Amino acid sequence: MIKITDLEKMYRTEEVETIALNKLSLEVKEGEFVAVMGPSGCGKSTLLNILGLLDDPDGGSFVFNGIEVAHFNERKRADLRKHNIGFVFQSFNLIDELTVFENVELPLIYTGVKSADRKKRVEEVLEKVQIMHRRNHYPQQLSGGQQQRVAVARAVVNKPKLILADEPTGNLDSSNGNEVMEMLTDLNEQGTTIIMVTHSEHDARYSHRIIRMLDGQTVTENILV
Amino acid sequence: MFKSYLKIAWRNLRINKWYSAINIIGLGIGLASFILVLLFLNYELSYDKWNPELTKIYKLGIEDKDGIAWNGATPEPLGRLIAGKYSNAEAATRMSGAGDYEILVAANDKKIYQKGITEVDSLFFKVFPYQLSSGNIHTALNAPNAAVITETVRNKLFGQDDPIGKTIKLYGRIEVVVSGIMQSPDQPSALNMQILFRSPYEKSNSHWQNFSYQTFIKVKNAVTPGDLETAINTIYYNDQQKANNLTYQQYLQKENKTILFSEKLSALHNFPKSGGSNFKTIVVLLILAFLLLVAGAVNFSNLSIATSIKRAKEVGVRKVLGGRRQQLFWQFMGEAILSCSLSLCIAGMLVVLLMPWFKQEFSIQFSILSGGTLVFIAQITLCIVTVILLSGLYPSVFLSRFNTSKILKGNYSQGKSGLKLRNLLLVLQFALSAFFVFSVIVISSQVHYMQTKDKGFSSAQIMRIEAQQGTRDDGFDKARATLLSVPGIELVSKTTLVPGDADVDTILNDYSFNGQTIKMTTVKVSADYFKTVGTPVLKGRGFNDSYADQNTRSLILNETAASLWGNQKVVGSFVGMPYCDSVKAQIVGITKDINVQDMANAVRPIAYSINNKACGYLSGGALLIKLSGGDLSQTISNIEERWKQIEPDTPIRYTFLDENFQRIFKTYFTIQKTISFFALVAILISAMGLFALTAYIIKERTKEIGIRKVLGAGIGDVLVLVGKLFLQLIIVALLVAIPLSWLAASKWLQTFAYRIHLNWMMVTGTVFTIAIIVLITIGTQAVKAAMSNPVKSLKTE
Ligand SMILES: Nc1ncnc2c1ncn2[C@@H]1O[C@H](COP(=O)(O)OP(=O)(O)OP(=O)(O)O)[C@@H](O)[C@H]1O
Ligand SMILES: [Mg+2]
Repeated sequence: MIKITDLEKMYRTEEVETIALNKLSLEVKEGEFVAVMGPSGCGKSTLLNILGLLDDPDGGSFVFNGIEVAHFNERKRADLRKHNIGFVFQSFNLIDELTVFENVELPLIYTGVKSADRKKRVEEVLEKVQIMHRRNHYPQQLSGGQQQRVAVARAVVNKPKLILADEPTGNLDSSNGNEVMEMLTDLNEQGTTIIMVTHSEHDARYSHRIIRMLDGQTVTENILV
Repeated sequence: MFKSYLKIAWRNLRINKWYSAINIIGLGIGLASFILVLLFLNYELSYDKWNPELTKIYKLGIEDKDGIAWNGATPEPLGRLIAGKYSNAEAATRMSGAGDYEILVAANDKKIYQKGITEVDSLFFKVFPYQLSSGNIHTALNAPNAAVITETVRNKLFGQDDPIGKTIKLYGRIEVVVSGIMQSPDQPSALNMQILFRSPYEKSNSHWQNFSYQTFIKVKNAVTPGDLETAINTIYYNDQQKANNLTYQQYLQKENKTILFSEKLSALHNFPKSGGSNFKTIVVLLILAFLLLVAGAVNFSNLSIATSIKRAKEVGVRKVLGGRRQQLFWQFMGEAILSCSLSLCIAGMLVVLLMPWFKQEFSIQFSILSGGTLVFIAQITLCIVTVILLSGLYPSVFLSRFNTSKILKGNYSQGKSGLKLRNLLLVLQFALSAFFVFSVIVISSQVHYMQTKDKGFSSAQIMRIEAQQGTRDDGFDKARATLLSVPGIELVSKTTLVPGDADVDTILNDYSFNGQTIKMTTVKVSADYFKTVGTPVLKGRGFNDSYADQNTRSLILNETAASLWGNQKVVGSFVGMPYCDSVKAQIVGITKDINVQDMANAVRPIAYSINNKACGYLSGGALLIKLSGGDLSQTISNIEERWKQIEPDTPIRYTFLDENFQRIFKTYFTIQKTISFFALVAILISAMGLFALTAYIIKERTKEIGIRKVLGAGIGDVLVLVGKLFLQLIIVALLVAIPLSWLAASKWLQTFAYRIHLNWMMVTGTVFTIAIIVLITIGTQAVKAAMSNPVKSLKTE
């Protein structure tokens, strides 16, 4: 599903030039659950952003579903992204002004799903993440675990082939964290490919394969399954 | 304490550099506009306040069932009657002035045309507190041929020579001897007094049927207008009106009565009982300027509320550290005070810069302090305090009230309660802008209409020459022949009603036809008049050299007059001229209407005739000369040369009708420019406010925009998101503004006899203008926000 070769990403500020990704190569097959680990600043989030088509690389090749996307412009990336990729963030990134229902509905609006279908699908996923009873609440009225469940619901509502999760349990206590990890495992078992960045060895063990990064490069891979 | 408030305030202004600059400049412009109009108002209100004694002076007038009689003039002996019998009267005087009409004044070899020539009686200085710099005020007007001149006139006529005892000649015939030099008041006066003189015809002019005089009395002790009017009316009634042994009180009950009224000299300029004044226009301008000021103050309030969410935390922490609400209130107020003071400085500079332009546009001569220093300082203080309260009070109260514990837990929702007010204020600003835009469209259309509408004649290449009555009557044929010999002159004619003149005679005469009486204005012309001004004769014929035409036996009506006769066959009919001639005159033609003035007044019904000796003697008017193309300056200098043969004693005075019409339109140009300026300021202020607000809101919502983009929102979606926030508000503003502007505009248009109709294109134009402004203001920022990389905005968390 994903094949990247010699991927490069550099950040330039006035004073310094940071090499965030240094000729990184990686392959992820459809249906895999991959964990990415490594010290802070090693380029995990940068990698995830590029994989999520949020950012473009400075060099190298990125083949997504058989198509070379490294040179895609903003619009093409947005199109590909909204139909294929779901995101879960450490800080949930729910919109405060919208209710739980509306937050989850958002990706469907942007992919042009009709209103009646939207209602059905949002209710389905809210049911699945067991937050249906809270659908008219606002994010501030929910606990952290509940908020992350809403974020997961939002990530999967469009039935994406790939879910990218950047430290999804980072802001949660262990029981809430486990709940989210169970959810991701379920999704994976139903066929969704998952790439997750984490600092927690415990969480990483839910995955099939752990990729360890240092200074913008992969160093080792542990196959768990 | 205060110093520390100011220090923090200053620091905050600097942190929010751009917002602060927008606030301060916007408010500064608003303040400047307001101060300018305020100065104008002060100037107008300072009329006839140059001496405390002036408050005791009243002008008398006569009122009957038709309203104010004789344009406010009174019979010559009225003042003497009142002064003699009213115990509270200190003195009375009467005068007859030429006002703004320029009179020929000659002394030695000097000849000038001078305004403000006034015939007075010996009691003038008993009533008016003028000072003489030379001569004795008690005796100066005692001699029956005395004259008192101002320093200005003295300089013009005599230079530095002593004028006392010297003779000057007025109107080319009245000789008077200078007995004093008068100081002009240093503040404006409704009465322009340049030369006071006593007329040699005083005795023969003194009778109750002579309504050519303005009468002023001075009272000894302050009196209410009601008491004064009862007192003088009782005297006037018993002496002049008494009939059938009715008492004055009984007489008052009658329908048809003639009574006196009084008006204070100090109110004459702004609130005259007869004639118009600028006052209403200025008050309207002041209200509009005040609204601009409010719009400027609103920006401050709005941005403070907008940034308040960010500052909620600061407030929370300060409160935890022991800051009391009062202290917090003053801290925020300090910011308002500092900003407003800076705005005032900017306003001051703008006022100084704009003053010359403003003075020229409104043809006024004032300085910043013409209304009195203290009054002005008081006004500005009041004004700035109002602005500070307007801009600072709400945010200060709002911010200092934040609930500490909630805020520290990260609940800033209180910060949103100001949203409604913020939106309301934004609506007000844009409603104001829309109002001005609509007004500018309407005013410009009307002005354009007035300038381009067919005036019924052509003013091109027509020279208007001021001529003495003799030249216009008996001497006309000779003058015409003399002028026609100048190459480049096509036609020479005369008229008593000159198109483009500022003052137009409004008197109507009776004409009778088939037992019906119709009132028309009589205008005396010469045979070539219609050809000179290019006005077509629609029916019948124009004047010719026949005996009947040349001796008032033939009349030509304008269209308006002809329409008064209904559908009857007008041309060929005979019309009687009661009170004036026993022989009837025949109507020989009908001409197109001529708009002699601006379009404010409808064309009057006019009966044209020739020969000023017969029926209806008319003074005034001028010669009109139609020039052919060619060397204009050569023709003019030839005319000037030739004029010396026609009127050797009076230097030529000429204007061009085109210019005269431009002068008539000047007030409208001024209004147009002023309202356009206001519109610009309003738009600038609201656009700046909107710009800052958009910037702030977008910054506040960057993260949300980022999330939405990650979830698949395109650029279009984001633009809609940002645009939607303001779109509703702008629509509400337009919905509020357009009906109100429509109403105001139709009210204004009502003052014109000939006017445009309001139409939907004007509304469309307004909506379009506002839409463009809004688009430009928020568009660039919204596009930038929509294009930004979501990764960056999410990272900021
Ligand atoms: N917008 C940016 N501008 C400049 N440098 C950046 C930017 N984003 C990331 N970097 C730098 O690139 C490197 C990789 O950053 P990245 O966020 O990918 O690290 P990370 O592995 O996700 O770290 P963490 O575990 O702390 O989230 C870091 O050195 C970081 O400072
Ligand atoms: Mg990271």
